[in-house]
Amino acid sequence: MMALLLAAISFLAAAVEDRDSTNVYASLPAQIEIQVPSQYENLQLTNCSPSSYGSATSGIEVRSNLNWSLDVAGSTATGHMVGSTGTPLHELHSPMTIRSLNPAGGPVTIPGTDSSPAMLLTNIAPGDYSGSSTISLTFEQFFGWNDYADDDYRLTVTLTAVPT
Amino acid sequence: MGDLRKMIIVALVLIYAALSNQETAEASFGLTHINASYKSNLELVMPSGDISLQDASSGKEAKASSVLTVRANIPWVLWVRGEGNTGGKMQRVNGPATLKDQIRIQQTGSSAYKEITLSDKFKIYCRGLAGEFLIPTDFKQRFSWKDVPSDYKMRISFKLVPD
Repeated sequence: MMALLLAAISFLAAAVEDRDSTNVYASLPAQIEIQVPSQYENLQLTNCSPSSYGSATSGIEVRSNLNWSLDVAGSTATGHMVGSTGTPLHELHSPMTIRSLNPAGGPVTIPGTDSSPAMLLTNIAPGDYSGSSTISLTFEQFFGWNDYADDDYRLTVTLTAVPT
Repeated sequence: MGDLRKMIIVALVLIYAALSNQETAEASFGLTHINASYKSNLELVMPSGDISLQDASSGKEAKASSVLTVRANIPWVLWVRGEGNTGGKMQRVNGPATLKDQIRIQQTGSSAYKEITLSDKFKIYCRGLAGEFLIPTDFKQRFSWKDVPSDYKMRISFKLVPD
């Protein structure tokens, strides 16, 4: 009986277990991405008539894993829209403004290449507007009676997400 | 008549002697007993060195592959868990913050194996019969945009026990 007990104890001791472990490492870099959905790459201002505002809605998608801000800059020296006819080319007298919804920001006058970029959104937390959510933007442009009629006023606006 | 009696006596003596000799030969044999004690044994071997998840990127999954070796002469079960009381989440090397998602491991190969999400408690990873087994394993980590850019670490423990 004692021998059987000892044998059982010996069996249990031999088959106890074995353990091992490993370390897993990962290095996550700082990242920020901005994308203008294709449907917003070319916008057409509506309701463009004298003494009124033409406007267009747009949107951007930003993904970031650190706090970020959104800068805007226009492609012309003054930031104003420029036509395609006339010598010199016609330029609207009023600047274009931009504002954002959710998160609310602006309105901000779009600066030109002669000025520093304007900050539309500041210190947005990482992940707050990431993924499929789109930040809505609205562009507004005042047309005065002193602005020459032109079928092709243009301005390219650069939107830049920068880490803060 | 006297000769006949002598002959009978001699014959009886010869028969007795023959029978006596037969009994002596039948009793001549020996036995040997051979014993062996083959104890149960379990052995778990992991590749030396740490595992590094390459190309970590927010919104994506990073993966690293390794091979575990199990040697057992009894049916076995391999358990796994994450160390550090972080709920199975990788922790910043220099700070308490953890990633949003847990690290997962999965046996790879020709069959489809279930993915295991690590936690603080041991979970069954795989099991088998006696033999030597190579267990190719993927370590997977998904990175959220809410995860802070930094270096992360986790210690993963395996425990091999009889089934």
